[in-house]
Amino acid sequence: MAPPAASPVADQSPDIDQLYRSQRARIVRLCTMLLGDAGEAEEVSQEVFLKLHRAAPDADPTTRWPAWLTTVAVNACRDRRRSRWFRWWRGSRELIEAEHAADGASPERAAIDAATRRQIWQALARLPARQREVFVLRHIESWSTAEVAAALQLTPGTVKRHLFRAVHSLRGALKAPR
Amino acid sequence: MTPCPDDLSLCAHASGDGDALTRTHVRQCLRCAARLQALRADLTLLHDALASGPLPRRGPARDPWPPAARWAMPLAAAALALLAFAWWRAMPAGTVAPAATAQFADLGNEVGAALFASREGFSTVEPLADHEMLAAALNGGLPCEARAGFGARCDYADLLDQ
Repeated sequence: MAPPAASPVADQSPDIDQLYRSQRARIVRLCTMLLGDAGEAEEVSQEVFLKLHRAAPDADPTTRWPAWLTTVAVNACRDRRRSRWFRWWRGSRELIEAEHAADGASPERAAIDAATRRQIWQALARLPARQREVFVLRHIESWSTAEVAAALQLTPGTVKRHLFRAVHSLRGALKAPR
Repeated sequence: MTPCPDDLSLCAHASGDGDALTRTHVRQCLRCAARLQALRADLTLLHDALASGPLPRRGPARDPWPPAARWAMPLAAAALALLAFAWWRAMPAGTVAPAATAQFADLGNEVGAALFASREGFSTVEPLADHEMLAAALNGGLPCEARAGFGARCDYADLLDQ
């Protein structure tokens, strides 16, 4: 899939180190949402930045690198999910929440208790892959419907339906008794 | 007033993709305004839970072997046993023993010659027709003990003198 089209605010020449520092945490989180495991997400994000390193010298100077990274990460996660080994590995393990990071809790983090957070992550992991991709890109990455449709090669109507089903399932999980 | 929008339209509206009709309706209908508010609250909760906070990891495996590997070992063992059985059945009776005897005799001759070689060179002792020399050597005796006509006291020198 081709990287997203150029925009007026495009970076002229990518500073790979700066991109790595500013985007790595976001890409790891994005991959974790798509794969359901932070360890796997770390590995995939390394692959993504390796691809950036290879692609940067010959790339179009008008490329939007954060969007490019997101698209490449989504595709890399899809490849990882398709591997038979990953399907077995994922199916045989329970999702557990990592220890809280050492940094101070933000207000929204403090407001959401661990059980709710766990419930949400588990509900996200149970979504079909396409719904999960649409939900994450649309609501977490704040892409527009048209951008999501272009990146995932779907029609805008299909994106809206996937999004609705994803939101419906996730809301259902929130209302389910704990 | 237009009819209340369905959940799909309301979800699109909450995500910023709503049409003008839905937008107008939600402004006028208290029930739909409450639906939209609840939906937005849930979306905010979902966003906050996923976009911040600790990342989940998967725990230890419930089953340490992947399904394929679980069956691979017993299947491989069964296949090997089947192959061995088929090979044994395909072999004509008596074909194994003579070949093995001939190999054993050759081995015996070589080992005997190496064990009882003289200072001048190898194989001054004439190889025995059968595996007597090897059997004698393995039993801790001298090769002459394995031959008819030699006494228990015969030794290496006796053999070399012949």
